[in-house]
Amino acid sequence: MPNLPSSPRGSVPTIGDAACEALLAGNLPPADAERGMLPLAEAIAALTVAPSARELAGEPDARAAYRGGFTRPVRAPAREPPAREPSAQGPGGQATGVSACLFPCSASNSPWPPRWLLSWPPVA
Amino acid sequence: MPILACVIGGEFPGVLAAAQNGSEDAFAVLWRDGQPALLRYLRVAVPDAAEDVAGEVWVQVVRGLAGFRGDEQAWRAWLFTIARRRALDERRRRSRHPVAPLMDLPRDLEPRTPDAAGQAIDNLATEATLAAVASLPTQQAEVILLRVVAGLDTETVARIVGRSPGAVRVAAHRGLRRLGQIVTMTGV
Repeated sequence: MPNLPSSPRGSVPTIGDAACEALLAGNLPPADAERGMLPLAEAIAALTVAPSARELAGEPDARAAYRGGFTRPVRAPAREPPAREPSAQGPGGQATGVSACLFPCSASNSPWPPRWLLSWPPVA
Repeated sequence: MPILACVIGGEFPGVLAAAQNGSEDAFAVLWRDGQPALLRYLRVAVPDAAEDVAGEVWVQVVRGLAGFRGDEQAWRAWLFTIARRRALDERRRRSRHPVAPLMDLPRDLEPRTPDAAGQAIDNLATEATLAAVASLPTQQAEVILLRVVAGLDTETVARIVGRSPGAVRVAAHRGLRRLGQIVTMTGV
């Protein structure tokens, strides 16, 4: 740490947390700063002055980079649901999955009502 | 609010969306908003290559623009995250391939570009303060620039530099105190 000589502009006051945060957030303009804080407030303000012409001189190059490098986001086309085999599940068709488990009769080609039911109850 | 920070404001979502959909003018708005702060940050981070590194940052921004999602604070955080990485890359590159000091070059090989005149300082106070910030310990300088110049909050800066918010606050506080000493002594 360098040994800083005493200042002709006075010593630097202790910076409290609130003042520190105000300086960092740009909420302590030099006009509102206490005398001892003025140099620091001026320095912080100098960091955020409006852009100079030189700082904005590269705009044509930036635009060229944009024209040369930008690619529009490619949106994937909405997917059609995969083609399905013609379903036999129409009227009188074949059930699958859960319905086939719940209604095993409908999963087979067995006629309804089954023959054994037609003859129910069995004749003694 | 610093002049450099969040100047697009409420129009940001529309500007971003337009830039993401191919509007060069909208991209220029984003560029004009970010470039001055970026340059001031990079002038401290990589003093000899600030403009070159800034150009690389924007190329990377253009490449990733379509996929960016977020508000203006997130946008700035993204911009300065890229800038920090590029600056670190540049420093590493220079450490591997050190550049001969200018004084070692024959006089006829000294760089004399038309742009040299353009390096003249537009704003003495800004340049003097950047020089003062550059004399701070690296972490303190970086935290102050990301807070003040980039307009980022403590938590965002902490994420960018990979430290805790508490560590960022301490670094900022120490840096400001030291910067206050420097500018008070030197009359910046």
